[in-house]
Amino acid sequence: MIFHVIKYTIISNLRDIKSIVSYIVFPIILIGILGSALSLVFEPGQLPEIKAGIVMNDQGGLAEILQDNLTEGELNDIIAVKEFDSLEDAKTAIKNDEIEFFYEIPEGIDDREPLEKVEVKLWTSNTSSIQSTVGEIVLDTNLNAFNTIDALANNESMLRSYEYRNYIVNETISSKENRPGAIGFYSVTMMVMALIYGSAIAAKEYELSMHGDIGNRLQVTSISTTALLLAKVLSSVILVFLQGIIVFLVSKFAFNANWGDNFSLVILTIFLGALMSVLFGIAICVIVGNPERIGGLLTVLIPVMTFISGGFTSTAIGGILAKITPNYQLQNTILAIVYDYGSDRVQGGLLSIMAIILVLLAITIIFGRRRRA
Amino acid sequence: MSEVILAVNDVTKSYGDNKALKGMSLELKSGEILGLLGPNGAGKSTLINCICGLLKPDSGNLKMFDLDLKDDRQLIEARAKMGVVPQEIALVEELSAYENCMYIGGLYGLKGGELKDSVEEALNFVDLWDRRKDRPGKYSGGMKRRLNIACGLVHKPTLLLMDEPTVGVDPQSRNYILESVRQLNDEGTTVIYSSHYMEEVEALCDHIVIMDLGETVAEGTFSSLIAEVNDTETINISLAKPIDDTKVLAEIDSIPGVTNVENNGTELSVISERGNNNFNEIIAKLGEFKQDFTSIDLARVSLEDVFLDKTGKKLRD
Repeated sequence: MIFHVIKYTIISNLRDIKSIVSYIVFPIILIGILGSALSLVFEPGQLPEIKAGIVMNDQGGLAEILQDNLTEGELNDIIAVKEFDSLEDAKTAIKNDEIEFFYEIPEGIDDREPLEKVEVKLWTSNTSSIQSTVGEIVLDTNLNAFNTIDALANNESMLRSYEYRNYIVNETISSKENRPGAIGFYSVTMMVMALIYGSAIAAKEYELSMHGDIGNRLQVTSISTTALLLAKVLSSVILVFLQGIIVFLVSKFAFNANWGDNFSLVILTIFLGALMSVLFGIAICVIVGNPERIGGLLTVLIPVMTFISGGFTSTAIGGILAKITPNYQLQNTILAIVYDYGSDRVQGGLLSIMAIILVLLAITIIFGRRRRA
Repeated sequence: MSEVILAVNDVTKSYGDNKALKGMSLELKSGEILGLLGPNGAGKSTLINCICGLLKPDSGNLKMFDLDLKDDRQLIEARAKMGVVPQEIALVEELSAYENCMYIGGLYGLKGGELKDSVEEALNFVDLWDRRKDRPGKYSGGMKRRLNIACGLVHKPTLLLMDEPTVGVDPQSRNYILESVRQLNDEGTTVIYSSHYMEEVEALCDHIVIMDLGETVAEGTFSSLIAEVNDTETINISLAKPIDDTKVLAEIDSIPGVTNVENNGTELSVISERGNNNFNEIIAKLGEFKQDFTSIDLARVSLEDVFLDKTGKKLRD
């Protein structure tokens, strides 16, 4: 009889167009809208390569060090510096829009007296640009460092040379490959929202099996209440799991969303999410006792929970409130799986979801028994 | 002698301070149609819900075929022989009529060919087989009621509990439903029929229990209930013209069995003891005095009068 109930529950829900639109189509549309509209928020800005020049009027050791600092290393990634033979050539290059700016290294850097000033010039076009500002910042930074070392060398009679040391430890948090873009992010959070909508389906099925006219009709048949409830929970889990899989597949193939490589783990998490969501809906029903309006209430509350858990904005805005939403743990675990945030986070997330499932199951059993008593 | 298939003994049920059933007792014999008659709030639905196990009685015993309906395991066994037609339309809107019956039939343990045959039989019985593929949303109110009934009898129950099955239906559908109940009963189904329409109960039921405020106020056959409360009958006569000679009133009053005569213009009411068969004599006296009449009506005592007599209030108050 349990399979009989599951069969007809699934058939009737698949024909409920209003619910399908709310629980599946709506999240898919939101992936498209939010993924397109907010893509710039998620994509790191690409600074175009800056074309610059340098005119070396001094060929001494310190001038060469300064030249190296201005033109080599990581700066090469953003500034391409071309050496010009004369000041006039460099000026012509600016006029012809071949470069944005150039550095002019003066003569006599090595030969100057202690504390004697020499000027390094930055030549730019008369139209201010972000590229010129970048050049100014780079030059300022280098000259400050150069002056500091020069001053130390003079004061302590040290040799007028220094060794460039990088004291900044640069650790990558995420690379281009494992940082979610807008479509990828919203595919996860909207799929989670679709899963959490399952709590409304579960509340409706609980109402239909335990209360109301149809519930009464089912309860006067030969199926026991426990078997009926179990059948309704299983059918809800199947339906919600299907919802999650549909959103997953549509986002993957229609929006080309990144779901990582570990599909089996993603699908397992979707299943756990479906179970958690169904138990969440039923737990609320057994606690409140009057499930008549719970389904409608959840339909309104779920987008709100998605919002405060950071599902729409990428940042949880509800503090502790965000963390107690069913969305939070689920979406963070799936993001950790898809974007490879480390096995510790994935395991921790999955264990947390399973713990929540057990707590919800305990609540359902305890309150359910009290209700029946 | 018919077998007692349902025994309700001193059953009580309260909702907080409201005592919905105050020690209800009744026996139902195989093949009977038992009518539960009473106003809204009399406790009819509560009694039916206690019988089918939707409600647990606070005290008392309920037995069906020696199965204790207060025991969960025995209740489930009894439910296989019990069909329920609830007062509300209890149908799944997203399923067709056929699927609704299949769904409910399967929950009574029917499977495969047996289930399909039973569903076909039930839908034919309520004349909805041709519309089996339609969902309830496409049905009229009367058709929904009929489908509601089909779902209740798809597993061919021995006892059918019908809780106000004609509420809100058109006269044509009501007649259809009443005919169906008669037919089911003729085929051997025992029926408990709850209603606040006395005409339905009067027309259908062999055994009537009149309820009010959670208890039985009268019980018996229709004729025994009528006899119990009133031994007079009223003959209402509309005269062609007002009475010229008041002597005719004295003449009618002197007929054996007549207890009172009232005249108001062309309206004449004669109250007589029941069973005197003095109807013809009254007509003859009018003829003697050349008093023509346009209509004559023997006002029968109804279950309404029984209820009024027992409770001091009208059934539809």
